[in-house]
Amino acid sequence: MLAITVAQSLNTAALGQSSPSLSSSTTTQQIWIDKLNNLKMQFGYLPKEPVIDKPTELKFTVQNLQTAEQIKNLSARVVVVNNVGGQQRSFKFTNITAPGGIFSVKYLFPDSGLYNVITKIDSKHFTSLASFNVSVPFAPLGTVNVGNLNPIALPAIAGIIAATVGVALILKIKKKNKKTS
Amino acid sequence: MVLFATTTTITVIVAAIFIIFTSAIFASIAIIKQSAFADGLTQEQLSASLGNRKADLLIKMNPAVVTTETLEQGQKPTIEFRLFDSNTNQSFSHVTYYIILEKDGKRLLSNMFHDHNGDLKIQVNPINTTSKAATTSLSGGEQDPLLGILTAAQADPIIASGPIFLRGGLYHFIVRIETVDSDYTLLPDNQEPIYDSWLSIGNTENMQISIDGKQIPIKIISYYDKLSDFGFDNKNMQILFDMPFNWNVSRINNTSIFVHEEVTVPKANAFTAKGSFIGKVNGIDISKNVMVDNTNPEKDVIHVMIPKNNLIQLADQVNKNGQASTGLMKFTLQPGGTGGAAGMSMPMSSMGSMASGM
Repeated sequence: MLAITVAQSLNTAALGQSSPSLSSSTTTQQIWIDKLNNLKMQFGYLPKEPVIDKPTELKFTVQNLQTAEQIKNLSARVVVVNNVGGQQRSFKFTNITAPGGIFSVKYLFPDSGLYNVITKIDSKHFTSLASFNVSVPFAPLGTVNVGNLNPIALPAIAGIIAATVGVALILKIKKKNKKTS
Repeated sequence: MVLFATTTTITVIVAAIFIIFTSAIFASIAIIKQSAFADGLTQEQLSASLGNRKADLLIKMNPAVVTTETLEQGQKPTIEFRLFDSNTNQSFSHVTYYIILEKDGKRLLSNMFHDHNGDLKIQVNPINTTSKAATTSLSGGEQDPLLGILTAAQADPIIASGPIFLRGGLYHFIVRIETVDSDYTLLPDNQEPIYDSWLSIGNTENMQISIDGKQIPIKIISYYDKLSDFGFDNKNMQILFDMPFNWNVSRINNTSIFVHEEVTVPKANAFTAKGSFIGKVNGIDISKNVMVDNTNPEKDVIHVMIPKNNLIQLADQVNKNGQASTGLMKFTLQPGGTGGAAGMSMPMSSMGSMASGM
């Protein structure tokens, strides 16, 4: 319960656009076909199992559907959306340039759950939207990234730990006193 | 009293023809499938499916009649796109439209637009430019905060300015639906309805013919494609003109199509004396498709209106006689006959709706 509370207090952050290199170690590629514009968009992410509040690289490749050649001189934006209890949360990356048809962004998923990653690609001749999914698994208990903790939460956690230790010590001393008497 | 009865009869006949044409066209486009097609109209309703819902797209120009002449006079037409379930007549909400507009294979517009109420209106501002690389610019509306898609705002309509509607003839609209019901939930890529439509801008040509040494100004509006080779055969008293046309029968079968030519001739002269006209296309008599609006004492307006069924029959004959390869519809009009379509005249108001509504 403590771990879940701590996870929810973590900051959502995006690390921005990363270098346009694709790694073969990404998850199974998701594909979006745009027949009108003769495009194939591939999407993958790294690590394969995104970790809450650790950077996940979202990678996109835009190709000609027929020739598989990468489409040049694109601009793009990426929007990450998820719904928690009917409330929509979103984050956007704008002004992404993709001169070689490949681009990626790094994002810190704030929670477990299913995320919708939408990208809008623009070129001189067309515009295209594509949608992909990322599933972020539950964080195992105790895997808390202290570096990203909300500063307000730190004293509270320290206080709780100190109180717990204090109570345990008092109980131990009382027990010892009972034994000696 | 006799005049009243005649007018009533004419109105009934006009209404009947209008209903028959409209039914034929709507019946031909009511194809429940992923893509829908139409060709040569100024207002269309195309059907497709969206899951278990019907998703009809109405594409409508306002005002109804748009010609190169009205545009030169400063007309700024609006194109309306409305996606709705024809079973309930309810518009879909949160619709993102991807609209491609092409003329003669050249892409004039390729943009996404969003309307929270599903009823998108785009005002067209034709701008004539000599630059070959002229592109369409968009203004008005507001940018969606996440995806940056231009979203309609009631107080600030979206305006597309550029080389749109500068020339008469067919404009190819390809409309793909990206979202419905929610702004940021895209339809799967294999389930996005695509609507394929050809809308017409009337191409106005002003010509002169010489009858008995007198110059008579003729106006021809083509609602299908640009006309060429206009001529007048004084000996046979024939107006002649050509129009590009693809005579492929299966193409005509697979689309909603309507050819409408409108010829205005001042009265009175030897050409208008009979009050009725014989029409031919590639030498084949189409007088039954010729209707005359003679309600204006100053001029006759001759309408040649060929619906899909007649076009298929014509195409069959044109293909058989080997003329299809010319890629032309060759019109001739001359005085005579009974005036076609039950030999009646038509009031001007009806012609307006004929031009726009089919």
